[in-house]
Amino acid sequence: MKKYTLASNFKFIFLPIWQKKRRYIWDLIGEVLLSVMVPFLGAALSALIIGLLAKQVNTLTLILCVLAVFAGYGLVNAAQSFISARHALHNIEVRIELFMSQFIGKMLEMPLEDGECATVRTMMEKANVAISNNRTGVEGFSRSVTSLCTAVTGLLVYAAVAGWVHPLILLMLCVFSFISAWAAQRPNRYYNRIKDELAAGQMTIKYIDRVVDNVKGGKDIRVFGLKDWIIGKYDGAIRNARRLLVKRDALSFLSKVVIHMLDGARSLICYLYLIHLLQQGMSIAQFVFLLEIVGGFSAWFMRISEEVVKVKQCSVEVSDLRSYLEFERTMQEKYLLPENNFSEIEIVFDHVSYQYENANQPVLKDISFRIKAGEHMALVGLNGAGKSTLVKLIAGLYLPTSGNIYINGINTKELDREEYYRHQAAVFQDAFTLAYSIGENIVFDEEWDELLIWDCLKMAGLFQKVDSLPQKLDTYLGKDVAEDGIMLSGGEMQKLLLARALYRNPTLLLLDEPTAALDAIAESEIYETYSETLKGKTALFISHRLASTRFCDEILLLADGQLAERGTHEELLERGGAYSELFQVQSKYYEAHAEQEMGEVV
Amino acid sequence: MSVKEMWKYLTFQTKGYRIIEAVIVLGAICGAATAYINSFLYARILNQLLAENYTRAIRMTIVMTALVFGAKIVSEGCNEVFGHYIAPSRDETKKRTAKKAFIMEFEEMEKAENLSAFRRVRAGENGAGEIDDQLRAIYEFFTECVKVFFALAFLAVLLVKTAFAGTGLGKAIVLTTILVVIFVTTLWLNFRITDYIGKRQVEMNLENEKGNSLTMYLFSAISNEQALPNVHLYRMQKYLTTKWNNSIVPLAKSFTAFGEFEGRQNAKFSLMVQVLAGYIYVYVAINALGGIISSGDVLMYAGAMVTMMSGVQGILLRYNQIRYCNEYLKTYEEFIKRPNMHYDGTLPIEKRDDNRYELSFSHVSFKYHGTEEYILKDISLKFHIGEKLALVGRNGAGKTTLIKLLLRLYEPTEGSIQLNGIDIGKYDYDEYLQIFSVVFQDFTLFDFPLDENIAGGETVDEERIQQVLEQMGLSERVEEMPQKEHTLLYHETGEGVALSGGEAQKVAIARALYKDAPFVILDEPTAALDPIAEAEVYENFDSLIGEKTAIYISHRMSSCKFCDRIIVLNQGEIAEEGSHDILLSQGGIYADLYQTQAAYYQ
Repeated sequence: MKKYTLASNFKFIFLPIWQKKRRYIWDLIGEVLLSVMVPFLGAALSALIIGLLAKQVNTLTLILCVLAVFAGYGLVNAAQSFISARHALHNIEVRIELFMSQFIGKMLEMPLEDGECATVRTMMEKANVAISNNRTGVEGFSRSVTSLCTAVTGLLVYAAVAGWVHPLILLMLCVFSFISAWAAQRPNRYYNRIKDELAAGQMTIKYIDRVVDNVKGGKDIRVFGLKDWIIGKYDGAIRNARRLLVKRDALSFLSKVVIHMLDGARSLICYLYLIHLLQQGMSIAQFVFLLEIVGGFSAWFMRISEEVVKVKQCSVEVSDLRSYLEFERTMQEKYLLPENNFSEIEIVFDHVSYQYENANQPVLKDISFRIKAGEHMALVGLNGAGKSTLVKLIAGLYLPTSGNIYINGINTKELDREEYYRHQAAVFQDAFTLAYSIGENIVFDEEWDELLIWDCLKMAGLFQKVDSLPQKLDTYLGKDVAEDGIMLSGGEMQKLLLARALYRNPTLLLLDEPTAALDAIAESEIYETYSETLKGKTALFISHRLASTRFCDEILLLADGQLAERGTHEELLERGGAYSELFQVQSKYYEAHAEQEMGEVV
Repeated sequence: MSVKEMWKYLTFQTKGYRIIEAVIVLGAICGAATAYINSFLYARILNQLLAENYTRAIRMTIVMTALVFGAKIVSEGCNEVFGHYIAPSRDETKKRTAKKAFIMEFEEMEKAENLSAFRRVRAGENGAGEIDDQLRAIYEFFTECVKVFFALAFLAVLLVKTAFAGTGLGKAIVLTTILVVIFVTTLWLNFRITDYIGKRQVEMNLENEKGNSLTMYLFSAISNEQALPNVHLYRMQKYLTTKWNNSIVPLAKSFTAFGEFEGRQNAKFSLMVQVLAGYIYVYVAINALGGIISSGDVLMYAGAMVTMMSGVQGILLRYNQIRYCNEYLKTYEEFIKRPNMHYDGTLPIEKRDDNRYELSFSHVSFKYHGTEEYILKDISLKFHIGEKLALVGRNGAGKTTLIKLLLRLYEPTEGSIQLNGIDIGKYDYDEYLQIFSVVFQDFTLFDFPLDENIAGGETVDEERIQQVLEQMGLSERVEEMPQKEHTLLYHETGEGVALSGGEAQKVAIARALYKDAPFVILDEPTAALDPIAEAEVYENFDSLIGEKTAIYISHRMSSCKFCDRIIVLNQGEIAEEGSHDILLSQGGIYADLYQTQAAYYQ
């Protein structure tokens, strides 16, 4: 993985802030200056009072002097309070608007093959840490930078004073502080080592949280008594995290012992030296002032060492974020094909093989075929034959491991895939819906063509249902977002997906088992709809029910990742191969007295 | 929220860790004491220095350094232990919520108000900051309290000294009265301001609650693996980005606006505090000029009073910070204390080897709470022991609802369901569910190892696993997996293997077989299976189910032939009942459904 330097992470965070949220920078500078002034002036105030007392001034002068000085000091304090409160919460806005949006964008744009890959998903989990919390990653970094700037400025001012007292005092302060800073980093180094293991535990925890959110899974959990098992996994992850963290916490304690020990030694030496100066004739007011300044030096340094540790920690998280954002496996060039409008789509597979990452053998082996424009093709085969993978290849969601796929003669590796997606519609096995309105679920946009959408609903056979709803197209699906959202039955859901596909008026339609959940009558309705609406469009059906393949122009039979048979329904039946065998198996149930013959099947 | 409630919350969140209580007390005392040890001895040192007793001053310096070091080490130790124990509190809370969600009545879980209560519990964790931050705030609250207590002790000493000094008692009373007035005014202002801020905070959190949960929903929808292919093909990037921005940008802006508001209030207060501090110095200095206290003590007493002021401020600030968590605690407690079932019986289920569990419906009707439309109407039905019953009907006829009622996932609106003559509500629910093996239409497998999925826990009977895998024809596929039957499924909790729809369905059936319960329910068990696998399931139907009582729901009419009796549901009522041949000859709904499908194969 690429290493990002602290400086480049700083630029990564502050450049967009400078460009888009400049007030943040001004506030930062204001907060830094005021935050240094407050303790410095405070030290001067103590010294002033002790000095006035030592000089035995008269009571009235004392009162007026003190009150006037404190009023001025109060104003500085007020300004500091205001700016730091505003600045602190501004961090959230910056994180969300400038960085979280990048993360979301990347998640949405990542190619499917990468998005599904476990390694990339782990990267995503890690990157998520950098943008979803106030104290980690981006926001932790920006907060720490403010604090760090304050501490450095404070340190410089105080160092000047300490150096004026005696250069050796300044040297001692610096040496001790360096050792402290080193000690403070120990526990963090350990933490970085266990971070991956902690992330794995968090993955399980977050997964179970999603399981809880998914109401339907609750049925299986109850009926099979799975709660102890699942909660046990949760417990395991928590226990493991605690086991890992106990050493970190112990190390952290040890490093603090070292730091406080040095702090004590430092304070002792300063006292002794200043008492020595006092003996030499320094005023008591000066003693008080210098003591506070020298004592304050350590506070600034402690803060610097703490913040440096935090910045480094956050910087690691920011690096995680950046490596996710910049992740690109295949350096794909964007091809634009203005000469192709995909008004018709022809697909050619030329010796295509596909192998999933981490798999030890290919799912699809050396497949070649052609689907002519406007042709309706059925894809059948046993479970695990590679049908769904083939669909994703055709859709351009995957690129072949070897061989080539040509869409209208253009290799998918060179194709403007975004443009190609625009002209296809796919209905996958698991229905994907968002908890927004029916209308939005059809068009995936907030605006739509009212006439067209109702037309599509009519064609899909969902018109009556939607029309009968009081809020019609604005009715929400599910209860996640709106409390009055509705649940669709399996059949209605399929019809909704069909309407979604139709709305796009696609040139290519991919249907992955669209009728599995439908009753016989609804199924035949859907098939009729398809054969009516798909005229002139290229279409590919995946189905287990061979009956549905009959109105397709041609049938592809996939077996063990290879193309076993192809032809029309009648041709394949005549050939008496695997397809005809499959057909016999299914049709037998519908023949009279099928029971007796059952034994002979397969 | 009272101190007692806070304590309760703290101990509740860190349940089971008794050490926490000792750590808080010790940590709060040492944390608060450090500053006072320092300022008390500093005053002594200054006095010695003013009296030019340098050697005694040096001795005191050494004592001071040692004591401060000791107190700091103890307080750091407590902080680490505290931090270690509260670190998992957030996950522990989510775990308890998850557990509750798994045992709550399923019907309740599906209800909108419960879903939103559930979300509130979750959102509380985000809206009010992380739980561990809240706990830390409570810890700090206690520390601040101890600080104020110490300060009060110093103040009491000063007042006693003033009172017994005897010189100018009248003047002392006037000065002290002015001090008290300014002090109380500042406190009052402080109280008003913090209360004001707190109220705004609660308001803002409530306003943000919806935005927060919406954002969380969107985030999980976007990061979900299942969404990916759809996101690409339907080019939803822009749509989802808009949705995202619309929900989160106002959220982000509201934080910044709140920061400005808070800053303005804090500024007013800071100014007032410095005016007060000025007067405190005047007050103490006048005492010093009058010889009541030594000059060295001025900084100590004034410091103690200023610390008290800031301590009170700290208390109020923390108090407001954690007030919201009381709201959260209420929601949370409410949720956790909700009854799990409307009524939960106590009757154990008689263990019988002959599997004579007879279930019957008598005049059962069902409609969803708050709706008028009956899903099931007056159903009377007996499930004979050992009988294979098919449940047939169009989508939405009420088949799945009937199953849910049988499993007590829903309660009948009218009528009753009985097991061996006793209402099923009277049985212990966990025991009652043990007599069922179910394959739901929308079954869920979990992203944990395959064998654990089948066994429903971490204790796995290896032999039985092999047996059911063999029965479902999964053995070969499992042999090919990297860790055989111990292979992790899917990718959400690590690098696992993805199952195809058909394979997943086989695993779901295997899980039901493994449970080996006397009553089997199969809701569309072969929808995702290919013809061969489907035929195998049909063939093995008898050996899979054996002598058990079974209910079979399928849209493939052919499968009904194997059943002893067929019940046809239509619009929530039993429309037809009888064997395949009888129903076919009646020419009703069943015949219609059957013919539609058979037509494909003729």
